[in-house]
Amino acid sequence: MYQYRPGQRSQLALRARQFGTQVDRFLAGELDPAFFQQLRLRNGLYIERHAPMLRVAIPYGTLSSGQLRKLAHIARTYDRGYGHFTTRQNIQFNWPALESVPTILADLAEADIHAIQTSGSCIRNITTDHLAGVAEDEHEDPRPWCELLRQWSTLHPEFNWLPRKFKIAVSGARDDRAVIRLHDIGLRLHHDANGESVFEVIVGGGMGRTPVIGKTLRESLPGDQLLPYLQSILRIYNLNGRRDHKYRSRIKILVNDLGPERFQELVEEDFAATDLAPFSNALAELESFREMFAAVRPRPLATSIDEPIAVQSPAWAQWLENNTLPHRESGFRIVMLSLKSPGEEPGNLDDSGMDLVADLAEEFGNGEIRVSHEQNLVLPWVPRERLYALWQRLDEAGLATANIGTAEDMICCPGLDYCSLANASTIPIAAEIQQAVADFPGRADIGPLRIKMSGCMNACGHHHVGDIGILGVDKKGKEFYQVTLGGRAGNGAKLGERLGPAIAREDIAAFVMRIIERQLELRQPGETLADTVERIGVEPFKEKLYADRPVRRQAA
Amino acid sequence: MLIDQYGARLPDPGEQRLAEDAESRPDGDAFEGDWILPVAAWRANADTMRARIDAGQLRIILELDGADTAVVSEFATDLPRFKRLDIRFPGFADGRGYSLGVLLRTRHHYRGGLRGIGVEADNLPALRQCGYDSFELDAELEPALIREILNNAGTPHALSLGTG
Repeated sequence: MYQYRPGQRSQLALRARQFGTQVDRFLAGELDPAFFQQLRLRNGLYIERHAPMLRVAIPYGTLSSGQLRKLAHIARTYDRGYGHFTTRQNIQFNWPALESVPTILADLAEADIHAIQTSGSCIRNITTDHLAGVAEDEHEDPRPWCELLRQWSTLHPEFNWLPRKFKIAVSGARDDRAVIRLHDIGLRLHHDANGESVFEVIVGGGMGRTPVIGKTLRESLPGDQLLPYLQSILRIYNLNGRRDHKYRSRIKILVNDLGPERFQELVEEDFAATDLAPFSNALAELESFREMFAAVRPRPLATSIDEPIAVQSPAWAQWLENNTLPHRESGFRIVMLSLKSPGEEPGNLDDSGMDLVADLAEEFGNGEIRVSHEQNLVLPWVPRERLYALWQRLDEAGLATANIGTAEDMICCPGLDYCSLANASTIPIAAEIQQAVADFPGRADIGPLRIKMSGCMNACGHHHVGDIGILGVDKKGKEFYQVTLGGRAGNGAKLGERLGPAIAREDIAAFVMRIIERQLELRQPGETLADTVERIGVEPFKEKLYADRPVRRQAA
Repeated sequence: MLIDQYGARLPDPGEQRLAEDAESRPDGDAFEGDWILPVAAWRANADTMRARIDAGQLRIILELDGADTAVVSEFATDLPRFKRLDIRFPGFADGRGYSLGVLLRTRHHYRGGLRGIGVEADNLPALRQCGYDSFELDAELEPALIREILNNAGTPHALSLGTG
């Protein structure tokens, strides 16, 4: 993992102190409230429905055990004992008091964690594949590059007041697990014919109210040109992006208004005039970052490493099947911890859970934890021979819910229960759907299914790219849900297609179950729902769901 | 309040400002010394003024709208003639002036003064990094507070200086 230098550590402490002064000035009426709002957002602090919400960055989704314990400490000391992991690999605390936030930031800084640029019109947390460095299908571990981007973009003097927020995601594998085609900039790290690191640069993707698949500007940009090229993209956006309308100000709108060709021309023009010399130290940094990430390996195994894992019980077998993944090194498995247990709010974990996961990561892995954009946790280095013991410990703690990748493993934003932007609830709906899936007789046949739900157009729950996407809307004060089918997040990214009129809150869980039933009737062997939709479109779903079985109110 | 890049208050420089609607133009003999001009006035009399600047009779400070991003290339060849460029920020959330500053300094190698007008004290460290060397703040602040803001900004990581 990345090791902070002393100077960088003191930088975080300084930032916490700086924000403390700003809070004091604001509370004393010495700082313009509109300006203070922007300052607090750039320190991760929102004012939400019930209380402030603090979003803390988890750079590229990687945490050490020590850092996770620090997050547990924050949840316990300043909050109500839990945190919410987000689709951008961050964590949110829902109940901190404004006055305590500078202290929280100072506490976090002790563990090399910060909340800088987790909100506001600036470059946000750099996200990546949660399986980075351990995936079988990886060209190269993208995290050293992510760290380079993190350092470049953090407190970047030129890009702190962009027209709108700016999100960058990086993938280094054959399968895109970082949703790179739906980010302001998506980067696909691969190797050219000479084995050099190069990037496909994708720009102007995004979800929100105008979902767009990003356009490729460069297929194989040499790695040593990555930062200056991104600088040119950001500069063209900063100078030309619209600032007159909040909903027209993301880079995807600029790329669309200019046309991708003209946008690229402007970028290439700026890039050609850029002096690359100031960036030359970046690549030397990259080498040292690579060593830091490569150094994190668990201790060697004492026993033979390829023994099959004997099945001891159905629950264990199901966990092994659903919640562990092949590792790039034989003898290890990647372990997924589901934060979608029935009765729990999706993506939430309490302080004791965080402490336990931190301990288990040290005891069974390499002291490292990942956060996935699907709002689950990952232990990336678990020796196969220790899986059963780990499962037992997780099972005791209620953290062995074996539903990764299933219909119950929903992505879900906080919705109306917490967020002041939301139009509709999401958490109670997710619970209803989970319950309905659990009660469904054909549950075992459903297979992998991505249900993604957002409580408003901003699409924090990635609903556009779910097999089943659910968007909460407000219709004359009543909660309704628009359903889309056939979206894909990774390779061959695709936006889901709207199925028909929005469904009332009382009916949405049952409606989702009927989609699942219909899919079981229509699918060919091995097909996901997105595959089926790609083959036959949404009509065969639509006619059945809306025509011959009109939506009825469920009995209470 | 007017301050330099270290937060020290600047004395009234005795510069004269040409009103937008002034009938007289800064090409007559009455115009000597330091004049602050809106872009339109420069455009209207550029040739005469160039000659007088080059003859050492006139110093021009051009006042630009931070939202007008095209002007940098328009004035590229005249940049060495200006004593200072005053960039008026349309609001704290409008960050175009930061890119303008970087382009002026690194792309056009502009060496004259660069002033940010209507900026917030908390943004001074970043503005300074983008090439600004004096500021006009809307608010009157204690010098101690400005010093604290500048000191608290710390040293940014070398990589975030990679503007070129």
